[in-house]
Amino acid sequence: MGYEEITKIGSCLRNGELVVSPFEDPLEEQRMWDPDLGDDDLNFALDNLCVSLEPELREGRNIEVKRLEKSSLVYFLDGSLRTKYVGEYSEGRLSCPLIVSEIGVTVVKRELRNVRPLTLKKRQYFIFPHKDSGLLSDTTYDRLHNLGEELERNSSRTRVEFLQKTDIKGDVKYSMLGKVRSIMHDFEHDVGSSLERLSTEWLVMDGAIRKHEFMQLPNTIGLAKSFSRKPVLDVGRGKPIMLPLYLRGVKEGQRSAVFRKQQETTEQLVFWYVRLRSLPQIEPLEGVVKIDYNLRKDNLEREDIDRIDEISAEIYSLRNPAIYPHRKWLSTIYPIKFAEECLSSSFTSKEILGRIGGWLRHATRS
Amino acid sequence: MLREAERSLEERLKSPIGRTTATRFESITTDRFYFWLEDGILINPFDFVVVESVENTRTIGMVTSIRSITDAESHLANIIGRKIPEAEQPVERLGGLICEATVLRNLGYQIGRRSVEIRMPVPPDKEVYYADEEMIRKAVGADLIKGVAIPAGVTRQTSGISATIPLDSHYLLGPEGAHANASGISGLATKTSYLMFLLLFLHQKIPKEVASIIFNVKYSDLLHIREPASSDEITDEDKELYETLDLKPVPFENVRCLLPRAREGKPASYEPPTEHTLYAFELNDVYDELDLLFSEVPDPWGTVARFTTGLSRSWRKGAGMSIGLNVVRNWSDLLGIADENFGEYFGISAPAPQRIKAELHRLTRNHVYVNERTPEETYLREEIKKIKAGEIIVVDIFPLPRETQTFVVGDVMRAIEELYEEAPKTLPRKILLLIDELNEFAPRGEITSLSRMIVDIARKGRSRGTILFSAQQFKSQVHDQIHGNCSTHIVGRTGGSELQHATYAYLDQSAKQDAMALGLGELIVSFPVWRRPVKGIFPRPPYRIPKR
Repeated sequence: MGYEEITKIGSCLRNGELVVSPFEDPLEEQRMWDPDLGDDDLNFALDNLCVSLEPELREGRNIEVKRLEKSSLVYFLDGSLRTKYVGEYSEGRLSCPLIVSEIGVTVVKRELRNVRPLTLKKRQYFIFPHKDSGLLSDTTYDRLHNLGEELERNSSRTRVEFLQKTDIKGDVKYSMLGKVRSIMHDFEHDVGSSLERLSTEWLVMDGAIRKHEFMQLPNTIGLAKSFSRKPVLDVGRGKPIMLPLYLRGVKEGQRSAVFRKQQETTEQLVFWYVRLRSLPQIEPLEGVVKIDYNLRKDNLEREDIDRIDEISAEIYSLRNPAIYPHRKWLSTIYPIKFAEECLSSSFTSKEILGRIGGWLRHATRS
Repeated sequence: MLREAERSLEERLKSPIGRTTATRFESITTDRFYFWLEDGILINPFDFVVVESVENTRTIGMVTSIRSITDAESHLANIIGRKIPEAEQPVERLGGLICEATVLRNLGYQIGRRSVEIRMPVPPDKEVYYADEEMIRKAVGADLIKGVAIPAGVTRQTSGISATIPLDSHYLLGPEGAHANASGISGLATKTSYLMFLLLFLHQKIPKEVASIIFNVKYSDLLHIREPASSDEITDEDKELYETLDLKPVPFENVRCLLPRAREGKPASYEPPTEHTLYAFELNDVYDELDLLFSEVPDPWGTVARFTTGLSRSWRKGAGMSIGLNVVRNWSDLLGIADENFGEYFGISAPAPQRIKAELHRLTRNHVYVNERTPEETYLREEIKKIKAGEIIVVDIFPLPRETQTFVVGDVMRAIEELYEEAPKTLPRKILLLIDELNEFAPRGEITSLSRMIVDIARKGRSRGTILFSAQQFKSQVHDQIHGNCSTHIVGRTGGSELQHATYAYLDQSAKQDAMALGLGELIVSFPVWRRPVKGIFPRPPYRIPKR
């Protein structure tokens, strides 16, 4: 955390008053439900019918697990954020919440049997409403805007971002959190696209890759530990069935058929499910991961199926080492957990994050 | 990265081996720090390390324990990962090695001529290096020695560095501290050999300051210390060690061997050396120390004390004493006194006279007790009192029964007392007394005339210059005041149950673990100025130890 930059931001707020939140805890992410699940639910909210591209597969397809001579899944990317509600800024009759978020993106590389951190980038974002929202005075906005440009020019790790009026849906604070997630996805994309890799080396991104920019990344799959249960699947015979019911038939070490939303708007995105673990009496979606993949064509060909099988086998084998008793251990692959560990160990402590409000307020008064 | 064995010593010393680490739950303190280890680095407990500390100072620590950690939350996580046989583990789990180190010294910074040690915790994330020889020696205060630097042995580090560990004579021989005690199981040639190694140094380097009295308690182990060891007994490694320690691998010089008399005036000793003097006891010699002879005889009514005191008071040196019409000049005369006369003279009533005479008969049955010595035989106390600086007297007590061994040791103690009272000009500044199997002579919880004398030496010897070098298998069985007054403690391999005793409180848990697995010639030394005991080795003796 750059104290100097924080002082400058505080100085921009000198016309008003900052009422600092007295609480260090909880961080905003701890209040929220699973954002990946939320995004996926949103994806299937209006159109949830999905069609199988492999109608011959009614249930799961066995994945052949073998010791792979060469692994194609080499890079694993994870983004994470830690957001603190700093307090309320009021200036005259205007008022808005202020949040700060530390965003980190890391890529870990798999080399032989080892996984090692390859890159780790972090930034701190202060989110303010845009002046068009009517929540911030023009003067303060201009000061912050100029400062934001200066920070960007200097490649500072501290940045200032604004929430446009059009992006505000419902509560401003929660819209700001959405903005932060959007920034994180952009950041993930920046890091993912800057990777120098061979054409045979694949990138696994933690979460869905429904975003347009991600879809352009070559040899990239998205791996979601949590996903919507809303899809209804047309497997080619009889009536469509609901996802949980279908997944009951996908046993450990098997993958589902490959599906596509009937009304797919995101290019040629296909997805399928792999069951990593099945312990007695777990609910159907537990132990399953969802894999997103840009097929870049309309129909599956033999080589696509081979590649999908290979990816599935590799994902299945990477369920070990187990990360029990982590909350999501049943559906986590080790390199992603490793990447999460790298990020969490590099984040600023919550105690420091909690003191930012005090520093800002001090700067507004000096 | 090169394997550790493939790197040169210089490379190993130059490259950091890890960095200090502190967590919410394991903080760095003034006494302890943690560091993680770079891949491929080899290290062991008792290795010295150096770390950058506050104000650009350097702190030297010693590794006390090494742990291997992984990101597995529980063992169950590892079991789960290996449960399914066909599942190959394609990647290794994240893990690392964490070392715990005890702070030995911060080298401080200079304020004018004064060096100020900073005892603040070492900061986290600082580079850690193997210590070089200079750092190791500074860690044990080699640059702060006030007296003579006496080598405690050589420490061999995993890095490949070897360094001599010095003891300050002010703490081993006084006046700041005194006495050394070695313990450990028998058969590993550590305890006595180590104390003899210290004596060898003292007699080679400061012979004008010291004289030693050694009790031989095992076969003829110490009877041939002036004869060189055979060439196969001293290895090249030993010779190298002697060179490192600046010692000559030669046997002791200026040695006198005093052996107990056996039947027909022959030595009772096992494999006696060619040059020796026999010692024997006439009643006229020891009339005033029969309390020592009877020290283990129960005396609930004080009758034995009345007898020994009475004899001591009535005896006239050279003339003996008269009991009624009987003149007593020797053991036979005393034992020949009728019970009635005996009881009447010493003021004790039956059946005590009969019991005391029976005990006296039992105790003086050995051939070392004679009615009259031959000219070739000598009185031990007088021989001891002739001791000169640089001289070593070996008193063999191995062939004697236990009660007589105690008596002989007591007699030597009295000789030393008298020596200080008479204070001849030839009195050496330090008299070193080496007693093996100390628990036999000063056992824990028992008060005898002899144990009182040994305790007195432990308490007062430091100021007077009588220094006790003692050894035993189990320190827990020795009188508390002896090891309490001892400044230097040496431990060879010792059993776990023994190490649990409070007398080993100066060893932390990891040092105790190591003490259980020490090898031949390896030991752990604790010294007052060191913040943690040091592990070291020393060379095999340069003198002959007859094979059995």
